[in-house]
Formats: sequence, C-alpha cells, structure tokens
Amino acid sequence: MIARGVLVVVACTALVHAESRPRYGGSVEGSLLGAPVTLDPVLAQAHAELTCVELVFDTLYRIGPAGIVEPHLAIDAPQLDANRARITIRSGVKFHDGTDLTAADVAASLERVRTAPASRWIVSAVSAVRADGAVVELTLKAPVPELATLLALPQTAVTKGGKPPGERPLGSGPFQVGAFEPRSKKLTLVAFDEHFAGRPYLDQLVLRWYDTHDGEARQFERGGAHLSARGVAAFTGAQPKYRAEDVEGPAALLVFVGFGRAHMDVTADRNFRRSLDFALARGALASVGSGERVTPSRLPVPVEAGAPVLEPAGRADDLPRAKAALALAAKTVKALDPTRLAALKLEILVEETRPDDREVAERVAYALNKLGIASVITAVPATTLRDRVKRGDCDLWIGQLAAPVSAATAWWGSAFAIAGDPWAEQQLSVGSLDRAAAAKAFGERLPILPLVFRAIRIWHRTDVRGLGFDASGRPSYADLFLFGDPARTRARP
Amino acid sequence: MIRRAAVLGAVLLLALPALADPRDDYFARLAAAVRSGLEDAASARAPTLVRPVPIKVTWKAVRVGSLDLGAPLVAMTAADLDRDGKGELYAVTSREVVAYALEPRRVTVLGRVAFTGAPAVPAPRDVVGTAAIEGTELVAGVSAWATELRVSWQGTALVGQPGAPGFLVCPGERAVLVPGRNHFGDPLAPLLGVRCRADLVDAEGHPLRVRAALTAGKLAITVERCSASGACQPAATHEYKDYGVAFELADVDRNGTPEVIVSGAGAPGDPDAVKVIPLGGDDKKGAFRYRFNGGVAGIAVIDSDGDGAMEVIAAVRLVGATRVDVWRFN
Repeated sequence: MIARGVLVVVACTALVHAESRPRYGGSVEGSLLGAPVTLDPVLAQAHAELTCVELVFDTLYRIGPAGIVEPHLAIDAPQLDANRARITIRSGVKFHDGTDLTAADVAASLERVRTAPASRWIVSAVSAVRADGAVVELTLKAPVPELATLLALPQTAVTKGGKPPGERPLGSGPFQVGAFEPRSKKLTLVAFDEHFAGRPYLDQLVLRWYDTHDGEARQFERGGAHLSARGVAAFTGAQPKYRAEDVEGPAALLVFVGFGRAHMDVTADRNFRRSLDFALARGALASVGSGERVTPSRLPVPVEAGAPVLEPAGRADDLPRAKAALALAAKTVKALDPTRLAALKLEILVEETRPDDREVAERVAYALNKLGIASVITAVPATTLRDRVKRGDCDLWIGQLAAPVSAATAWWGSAFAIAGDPWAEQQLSVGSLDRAAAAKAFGERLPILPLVFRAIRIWHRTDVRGLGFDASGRPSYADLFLFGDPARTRARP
Repeated sequence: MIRRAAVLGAVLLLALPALADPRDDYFARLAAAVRSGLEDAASARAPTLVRPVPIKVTWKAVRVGSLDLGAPLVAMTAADLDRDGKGELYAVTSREVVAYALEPRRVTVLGRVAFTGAPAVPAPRDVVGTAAIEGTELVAGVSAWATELRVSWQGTALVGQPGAPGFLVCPGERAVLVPGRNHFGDPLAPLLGVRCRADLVDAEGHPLRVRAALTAGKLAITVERCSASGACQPAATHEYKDYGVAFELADVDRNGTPEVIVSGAGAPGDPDAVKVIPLGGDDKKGAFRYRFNGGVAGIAVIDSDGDGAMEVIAAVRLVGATRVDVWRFN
C-alpha cells in the first residue's frame, strides 16, 4: 500500500515539467542517410550531403518548416530594381576561423555556383555578380520572381572566398568540421560558438553511416546511438536499451531511377524509358524503408508543390502499355528487338550505404524482368557511384533528390539538372519556369523516372529533445539538446 | 531645519574627502559627526511602519482568455503604468510589447509597440527576453534585438523609445547574454532570470527587498529587511531546486511573508505546473498548485481591478506556439 502511494507520488512528480530553456552541452550520435561524397555545397546532391552542408555553411535565405522563405545571411528580401537585385548582407557573421563573412565572399560563392555544371541552373538568370560594400548585386537577364527561394537552396551556401572547401571545410554554419572520416563512416562536428544565429546546444554531433541494412538499428538498439533513421532494433519486436520516440519530417526525399550511357542506344531511348515507367509498380515501393510515409509519384514534384495526387491506376504497373512502348522502342533500337532482348543485360547501380536503395533496385529489376530484360544490381561506394554516373558508366542508377517540399521550381530544376538535361536551366535563364510546360517537357523527355517521395522518420532517445525537420526534410541537428536522463525500456515480463 | 541640515551635510560629505589633509583627522571627525547627526535626525523623523492587513485568498484556476501574439511570448510582467489605478499586463514577444487590460473573463489590447533597430548578432537559437519596470517605464529586452525597448504611456498612447544594449533584469541591475546563448552569466554558471521586489513589507511593516535569481536548476532568493530609515540588512535566504524560467515574487495574501510563484523545470514541450510557495514554507506542498498540458511561458502578479489585492496570472502555451492562454489563480 505504502509502495503504491510512493509510486503515485513519484508519477505525479514526474509529470510536473515545464517550459525551461534548452541546455547547452553534450554529444549526440546520429546518422546520415548514406555516405556524403563531398561537403562542397555546389556538388551536394544526396540527402546526406545536403544535411551536412546545412550544418557547416549558411545560405542567404532559408525556407522554414512552413515553407516560408526567411532572410538568413541576408538581412532582408532582395531589393529588385529593373534588371538588378541587391541583397544586403548581415554584419557580424564569422567564418569558423574567426574571420568576417563579407559580401565579397557571398559574391564569389554565387559566381562559383554560376559556373558549376551541377548547380548553375539555380542562378541561370544571373549574368553577373558583384560585391558593393555590404551589398551583393546580381545582374539579371530577366526578373526572377523566386530569387529568394533559389538562393535558399543549399548549393548556394557561402564558402570562404567562394573557394571549394578543402578536406577541412571552412564555413560559417552552426557546426565546424571536427573530423571527416569516410573510411570510418563518420563525420564529427563541433559546435561553433560564434554562429550568428546562435550556438548549437550540443557541444558535439557525430554522424555515422552504415553499409548494412540493420547496422544503424543495431547501434540504436544497444544504446550506442541517440538517433536512428532506420528503426530501433534489428529484429521486429525487439526492444532497444532506451525507450524511443519518433519524429517524422515532410515527404521531401525523391527516390528516382537515373539513366547512364553504358547501353546508350537503349537507355537514351524515350520509348524505352516510357516502357520502364509503365512497368514499374510504384505502389509496391510503399513498403520500402522503416515505416515512414511514402508517396508514390510519376512526377519529380511533390503534392505539396502542386503536383496532382497519383491515382491508384498510376501506382500500379501497366504492362500492356509498357510492352507497347517497348515495341515502339524496338523499331529504332536493335538491342530491344524481341529476338535480341535475351542478350541484353542492364546494370543497376546502387549506393552501398543506402540499403533501402537496393530494395528499390530490386523492384526496378522486377519491372525490367516483366519486359523480358535481364538486369544485375551492383552496390558500390558512394564515390564510385558518383564517378560512374558522371562518366555515364552504368545503365540505370538509383538516386535521391531533396528540395524544399513546397518549392516547385527547385524540384523541376533539380530533376532536369541531375540528368544533365539543360531544359530547366534554359527556361530559368529567362527568369521563371512555367510549370505546365515543365510537366509537358518532363513527360516527353523523362530525364529521370521518379518513384516515390518519402519522409524521413527519426527515432530518438527520450533525453534527446528539439528534433525537427526543415522544409527539405533535413533534421534540425543544430536545435537538438539533451535534457535529463534517457528512459530505459521496461524489461519484458 | 532638518532639510537645511541635510543639504549642509551632503555638501560637506561630498567636499570633505577632497579637502581633507591626511595628516589631520579633523575633517574626518567632522564628517563622522555630521553623518551621525544626519542619521539621528532621520531616525527621529522615521516614517511610521504600516503593518500589512492579511486578506483571505481563495485559490482557483480560471482561464481568462486567449491571446494570439503573432510571435512567441518571451517575457511578461504587470504594472499600472498608465496611472488609472488598475494594473496592465505587458507581454513581450520577439517582435513587440503588447499591453493588455484584464477583465474577469476577457483580455483586451490597450496598445502595442514594435521593437526597432539592429538585430542582435549573434543571437541565441531560442528567443529569450526580460521585462522590468523602472519608474513609469517598462524596459523590455529581447535576444533578437541589439537594444532594449523602453515603453511608457503618453496620454492614451503606448509609445516606445530605443534603450541601451543589454537587459534590465531588475531596477538598477543589468545583465548581458553570453554571446549566442540563451542565458546570462557565463557558460559554466548560467543565469537564466532575475526578479526583484522592493514594494513588499514584512508582518511588522518593515520594507523588504526580495531578489530571486534562477541559475541552472536552482532558484536562490535573498530577502533584505529594511529599517524605517532605509538601511537594509540581510534577513533570509531560500533555495529551491528544479523550477522553470517563469517565476514571480509577490505577497498575495498580504501576511508579510512573500510568496514565490514558480513553474516547473522540465524540457520545453513537457506538461507544466504553476505553484505558489510562501518563502520559508514547504515547497513540496506549496499554498497552491495547478497543472497544465502546455508550458508556462510567463507569470505575473497584477491588481487588474484596482481593489488593492494582487492576482496571480500565468500565460500557458504549447511549445513554440504564438497563442497563449491567460489563467488567473485567485
């Protein structure tokens, strides 16, 4: 009886909490959704790289969780005057080496974006950039209604002197790079005390990536990690050492099939691409992952950015139309002729530290099989994947795109750009991109095959607080803080 | 007569140290004699101590209204700055100061003044602020802005003037945030908030000066008892553990023992509570306690109807929300 009374008192006391402030200190171990190939903003493509860039660098603007563009390094919205946009840079911002971030650094960084093949589409309407005191002046080929949104994309982040970050990237972001150890699959970030938007609460953030399907869950299960994006335990029903809660972000990660040039006659053919598009049963991809929200899509734009909801028929495969498209392709591509099809074997590249991509690749292989085309899945390191895709040394590859979920222009632009298709860049060079025209061009060209938009769900120990996501589905690691002790999972009776 | 002696004494006290010859203690003896004479004169004319008249307080939580502030609430206080005999509630958000009149079941806006000037660099990731009354002004400081905002009434208009950098935490006491962090002090000894009261009296009517300072996990309260002549001596210290950043000092029941009104010390987003603890009393039990699902973002005491009795008010919200519910507890 007394023990029960004590328990009630303890329970009541535990309920009495409040709105205290986040505390500083501590180290948290979390994860990235794969290996970052680079920490260079202009080369960042995958979710892991974009997450790192946001932690180490700053952009002129940023898009909040509600999809609203906010000044970040800029103090206000761009001041538009005829064909010029003037952006005043916040004073007092420091790089990690203690030097001031100036308008000259911003101008040099944007100039580098303008010349980088992977990201130049973002500023294709900008013909010149210069620093004028504390102001950056952009000369525009045409008015750009979404300039602030485009300048919020992580590829436009500011590096010192606009130079490529070296092995020890120097940014102005909330964390500085302590150690980048690709061999150990680990990135150690240290809090930057002088970050203009506030010091992160954590002293240190360790981000790991894993090359096994259950590696991350196992690490969380035994209490070795504070966060996990791939479940809480290696086996269904198993309990982790510490009690876990989860937070899910927006479905802002597009998983797609990209095309290489190893069998260029086949994979460059529009009818072949259309055939594979019809043969893919996107609804089946909903089960890939760790239970997070997955939205099948045939467009590279999420519903939140104005894309129509995919009808049930669009989620299923359409084999008759797939075979009809393949037959059309066979008229011009000899390798697709039914008599030669058995000899064709396509290679699908996947990144070895993104286990979910292998499952996706298996679905793509199944779709090819329905068309009578053999395939092989090859898992390679992230750097190898990036190099081989760049060289076109593959047939198909599984890729990721992440952008602010409501920014349609960013999605259209990056979907064309990642395939090396200049259509969006050309459109944006005259100021804006017509969405209907983009959808039509995309349907005709199929630079990539969008599969699903997926959310990121992160499980965290109960002592980890403040976890949220930005509009691109990147975890807000700078806002994380530790509070109290982790609650242990109750032992099974 | 006394006034003339005081003026003469003050002049001598100011002038003598400069004139004094260190080899001759005549002037020092003269200064001591004048000082002693002044103290005797002051004590002979000491103001009469007025004992407080206790009132019966009925504790009951009532939701007064809901405020959509448009930005997160960072500080709250109350005072009768417009001199109409009724106190106003002042809410400080990351953007502005809003004055409200509290009616039994309604809260109405009296005026608002926006912060202006340069943004603070660096600013902490979570916006924090202070609200202190100095004379006829409310001095509001918010971590997002480089300077304070001094708010006062000009007739029926609430007006604001840019103030100094830093934060006025109590009349005559300023603090600065640790750069980029959400607290004062230093990184190893963070100071989260300070509240002061100099308008309370003990049971015998002696003026009290009460100061409460919240450091990491500890609310330390010092009480000074002042003589009728104004000389103050430390009278008591109290320490309470595990209370949150919203707290206030008052003597709601007017029995001469101040109360500290506190919130809980859990993480942002957790359920919260308001507790009233008489200083020196049992803080586990307290005089009153009420729980909320949201967090307590601010506590203030206000005489909203001008009857002389102070009411305890709390602003409660879901974490990060710009809408707060205003609760009255007595």
